[in-house]
Amino acid sequence: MSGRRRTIFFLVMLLAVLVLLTGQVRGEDRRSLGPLGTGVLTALAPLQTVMARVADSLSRSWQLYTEIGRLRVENARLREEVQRLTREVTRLRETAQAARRLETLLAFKLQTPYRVVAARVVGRDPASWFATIVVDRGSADGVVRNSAVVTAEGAVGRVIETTPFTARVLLLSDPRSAVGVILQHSREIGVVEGNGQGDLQIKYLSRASAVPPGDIVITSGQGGVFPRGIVVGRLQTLHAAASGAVFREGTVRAAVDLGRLEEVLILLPEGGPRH
Amino acid sequence: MAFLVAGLLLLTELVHSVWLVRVPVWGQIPDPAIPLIIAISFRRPDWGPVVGLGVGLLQDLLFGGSLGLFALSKLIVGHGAGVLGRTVLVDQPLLPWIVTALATVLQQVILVIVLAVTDLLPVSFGAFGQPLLAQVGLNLLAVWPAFAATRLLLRAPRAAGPRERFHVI
Repeated sequence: MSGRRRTIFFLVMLLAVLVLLTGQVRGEDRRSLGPLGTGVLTALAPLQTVMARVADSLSRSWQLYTEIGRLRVENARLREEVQRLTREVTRLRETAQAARRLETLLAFKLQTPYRVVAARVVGRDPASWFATIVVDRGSADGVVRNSAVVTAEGAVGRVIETTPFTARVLLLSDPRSAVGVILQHSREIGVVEGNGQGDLQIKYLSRASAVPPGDIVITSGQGGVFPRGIVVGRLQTLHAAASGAVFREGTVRAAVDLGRLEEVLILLPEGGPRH
Repeated sequence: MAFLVAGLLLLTELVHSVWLVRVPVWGQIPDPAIPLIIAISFRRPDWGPVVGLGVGLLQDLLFGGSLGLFALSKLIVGHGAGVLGRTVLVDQPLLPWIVTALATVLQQVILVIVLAVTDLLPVSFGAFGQPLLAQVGLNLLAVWPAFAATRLLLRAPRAAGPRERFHVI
């Protein structure tokens, strides 16, 4: 095509487009397809539909892929959060249990006529030869030797040595421990001693006594350590007296779980300030 | 051969209107028709205006604007590319990218003028800022595939002078 023809051809097309554009702009909707335009779009519609479906499918796959990555990160974060919350729950449960124990101790402390100080168990005899515990109250708090140690459930033992800030307590289950007791219903008197194996024995019961099993054993107040009326335990078994023996013996189940002490109350001597 | 080129242009515009519109980059959608028109016009300069007009009308149909809007701008781009194809040595390595960038700017200028004169859409000088830069950048990404596809379809180059070679792409 010669240069002149090309220019004329271009100018003709340009004019046609300008006419078309002017007609469109002046129209009501500013867009008028006409039958040819409508036909072209109709013919292209199936292709557009297929391509759109392919694009939608790819888009969904991509979203799924990115979602998996995001979910993986979210999963790891949530697992960590679960572990953190589990630790928190465990800690809170522990705190709640301690609160319940302390609440019980406080209730006992408020209703007892004695001067008491609460103490936390901070140590046990590591060799387990002796049934002793160490608590975090000492002479600075008014604790003296032979102070009675109790919990809300019952008697625990007595203080055998003190430092300014700690005290060692001899538990009832220690062989060296002996507490004067009385059986609540039968009113028989006896002595409860530890047998060194975590159990309590009651001795010096009258041979002729008719003691029902399960009778509650309480302190008699004799001996100068425990005041009268503190629960020691419950009579479990009563052995038959040996031939010629004057007294009978039995086993007592301690009211307090001496192996799981965490907080105790120490009864202080009269005359000092109430804690 | 003309049918193949028409098919390529049709496919390009379908991809443009269905797929590329779903993935805007920097708020802009690439227009692969511009480098394609330029590539065809470099190889077949007489086809430039016709190809530009045809692609422009197709875009007007598919994009929902007034017929003739993109047809006008693409017609001018195609004609200009054809003139370049006849008068300029096309073996310059950077020529396709330079012409594509200039064509993108030219199209934007034409569109803004037409829209302002006809009051079809509100326009502002902001259209020449970051959006235009983004549009140019995206169109440049389509240069290599457009010229490669054209070389495949239009294997026999036009009657060329001794100094013209199409080893650019």
